[in-house]
Amino acid sequence: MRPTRILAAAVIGALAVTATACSETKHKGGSDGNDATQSSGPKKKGGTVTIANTAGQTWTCNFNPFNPAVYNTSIGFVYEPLIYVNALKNQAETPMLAKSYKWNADKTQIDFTIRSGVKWNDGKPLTAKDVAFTFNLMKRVRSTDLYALWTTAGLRSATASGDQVTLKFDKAAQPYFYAFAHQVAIVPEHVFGTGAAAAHPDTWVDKKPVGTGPFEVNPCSPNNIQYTANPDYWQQGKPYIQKVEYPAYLDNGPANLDLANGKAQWGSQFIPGIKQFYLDKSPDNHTWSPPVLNVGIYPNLDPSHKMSSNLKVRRAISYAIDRDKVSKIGVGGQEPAANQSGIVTPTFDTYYDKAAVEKAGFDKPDPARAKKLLGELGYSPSKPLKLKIITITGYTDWDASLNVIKQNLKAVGIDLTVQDLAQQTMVGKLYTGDYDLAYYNQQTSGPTPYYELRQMLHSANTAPLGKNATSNYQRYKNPKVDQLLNDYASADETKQVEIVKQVAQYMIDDVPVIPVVEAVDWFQYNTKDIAGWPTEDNPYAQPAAYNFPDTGQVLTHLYSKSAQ
Amino acid sequence: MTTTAITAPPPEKAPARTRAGGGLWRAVRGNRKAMAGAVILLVFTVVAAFPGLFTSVDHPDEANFAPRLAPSTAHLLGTTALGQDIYSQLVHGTRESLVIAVVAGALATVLSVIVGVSAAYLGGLADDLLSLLTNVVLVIPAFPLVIILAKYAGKGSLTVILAVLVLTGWSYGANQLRAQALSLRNRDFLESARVRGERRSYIIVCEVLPTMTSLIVANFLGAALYSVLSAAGLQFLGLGDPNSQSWGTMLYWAQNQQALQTGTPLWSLAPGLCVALLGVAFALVNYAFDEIGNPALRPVRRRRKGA
Repeated sequence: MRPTRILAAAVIGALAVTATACSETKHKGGSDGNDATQSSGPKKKGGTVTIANTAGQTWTCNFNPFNPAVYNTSIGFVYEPLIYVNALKNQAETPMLAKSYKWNADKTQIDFTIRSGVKWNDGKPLTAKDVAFTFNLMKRVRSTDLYALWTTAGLRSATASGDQVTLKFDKAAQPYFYAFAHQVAIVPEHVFGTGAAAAHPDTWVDKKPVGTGPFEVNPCSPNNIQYTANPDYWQQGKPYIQKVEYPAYLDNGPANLDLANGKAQWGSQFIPGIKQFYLDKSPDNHTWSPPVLNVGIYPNLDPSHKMSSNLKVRRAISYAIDRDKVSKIGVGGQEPAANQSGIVTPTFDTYYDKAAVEKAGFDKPDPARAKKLLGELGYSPSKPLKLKIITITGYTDWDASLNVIKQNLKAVGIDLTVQDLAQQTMVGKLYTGDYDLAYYNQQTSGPTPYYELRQMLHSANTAPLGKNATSNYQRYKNPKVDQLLNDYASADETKQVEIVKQVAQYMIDDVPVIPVVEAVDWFQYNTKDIAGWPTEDNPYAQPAAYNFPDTGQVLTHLYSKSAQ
Repeated sequence: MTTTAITAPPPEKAPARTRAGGGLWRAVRGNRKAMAGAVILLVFTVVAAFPGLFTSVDHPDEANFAPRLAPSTAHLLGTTALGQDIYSQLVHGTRESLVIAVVAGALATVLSVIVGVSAAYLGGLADDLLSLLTNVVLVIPAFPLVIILAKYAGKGSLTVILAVLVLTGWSYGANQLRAQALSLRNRDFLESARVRGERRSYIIVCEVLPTMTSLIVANFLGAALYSVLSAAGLQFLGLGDPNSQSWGTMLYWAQNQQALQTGTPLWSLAPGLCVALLGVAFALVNYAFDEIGNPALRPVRRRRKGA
């Protein structure tokens, strides 16, 4: 079985945020797109939602929001951010624990106004002090600073006065807004400021999380977490759903079966043959998996790897691959074909320059051109170039995709050998650059393409061979691209789009990575009793149950039809 | 299989000896079950040797067709979810499955013979140590051990799977062979060989082993059967090379794509049946050896040729 790939949207790089002033987005209950008769007014309470998201292990019953291994079961459910930023809706913002915020002119200082009347689920009120405490805790214990706010982002101070919290930075910090406003979960000082929690906030086992969110843990056992609605939740009348069950599935098989027979309503992993296996089983079964990242081939660009660092070879590979076929066969059509510019469509259509892709001839497979390029190097189908590609064992959709790619390349004169390696071995080789080609995707997505591009292409994210690269595994170094990515932070929105398009042009010209298909947020949902799901028409949050704090948005939209 | 050339056969007392090879053949021919098994084996062998005779698809792993087609004249067993022809995969998968059976079976048998017969013939401390080793390996549950070994040896290559099967598949046979060798140990013909001053190795290879032919062959069949099933099990669990052509790998992919639940049951059933059929073939041929392996039924003679 293939493990679920969790895209914890942890931001180590930088993120862009619209420069529009904070518009108070109204928190509307979305119609669920298949039950149009429902109005979007308040709903009556009741109902239970069961989540089928393969955890791969039993629950440790630790809900510490600073622990990446467990934080997606607590952030969104129990802990909340200051502002929710929707990556699928052009970064639309929903104020959560902060009512509003204001940047200063050069974006080096931000003032949050903290919402009043919010209570922790132990009855104590949330104050601006708690918020400042959360940020200062990250300074005191660096391992809790998951987004490198006090280092990379240049955070200098976090202070509270009245209902205001002020964060001061060394430099323009707007790209980090997504990290500190949307991803950081605010914790209570009266819990994290005392005893064992204060001594080791990173490793402390948070068994009974005290948060402000819509749900409370009640109880947790190794094979199931049960969440019950928080009766004093600050959003009046919410959550409508009264109970959430989150069983620990060790692999996808049983999780998929529970989805197919309706036992679970909220799925978040790949279901092979989803039409026959899931959708055909009931008219209430739906799926919508929005693309967020690229899965592709990472060629080793270090000159010591003669073939993969040769631009002609890389272009030939990109021309040869029939991405639509990989999408259709390798992943059963559930992940759309990617494009050489690296811009994920339709999610980030605003940034996509179709003409540029067409101009370079990357809009459709062109085996003839690939053959010609390889011919110039003296290779042909009868005298093929031998290349190895490493991949992770157990990721069967990747294996199936590579099988198609292998076939495509064979036709133009590349003999591709696929090496299935254990995950740790594979990423070890990838990080240190001990490979020719690798099949992989970035592990974190952001609200604009800038974020993935920065991870892939900025030379700050690479390292010499033998040392661990953070995310620029192929060792791409281009000062012009670095400059563009650096300019992004202080640019306005129009300029930001322009910058992304320019960087995408380098993806087309230099082929530093060869995108093949688009990684999606896996999402299946059942509307027999539960409505209010995010849909393609109403993408109010990233839908997979492993996205935090998006789970909080979904859980406050869902309601039970039978309770109405 | 052990092939032994006889050098200077010792004077014979018993009249009317039949050659072991002839005995084997007669036993197979005279036994309908064994005959059926032999025929199945023969068919599989031909398929493994000349897959091109049975299918026109040269690269069954390539996705050249529409996914999940129903069986038709173009695709006898339909196509997989990955757009491959199931029948041609089955044909091309025969070779690896058969090779694993024969090679792992043979090597495990060689190991059984070396350990079992040496233990019996040497006696004393060597026997104690070898028997201890045999018994320890015998009581370890084989399949979990196989899984652990395969996992740690790094999955993927055929060599690893073969090595794992050989290492776990010899102990049962070694025990049996030791028992029979013990009963032979003090027979007259061995005594006379010793008196003649033959070397120990000569006695074991040329005097003891030929007497045990039928048991050795029976062991080989048993080990081959074990290898077929275990290899398929390993590959099914994803411990083989997912890009290889074999029935176990087909099962692995079918399971991964949830073939039984998504309308392509043949993708799972066909390779499953083939594994079972090959296993059955080895088991059926084994009947013939029950017949001649029992000295009460038929005295077994030395053999000239490998059966």
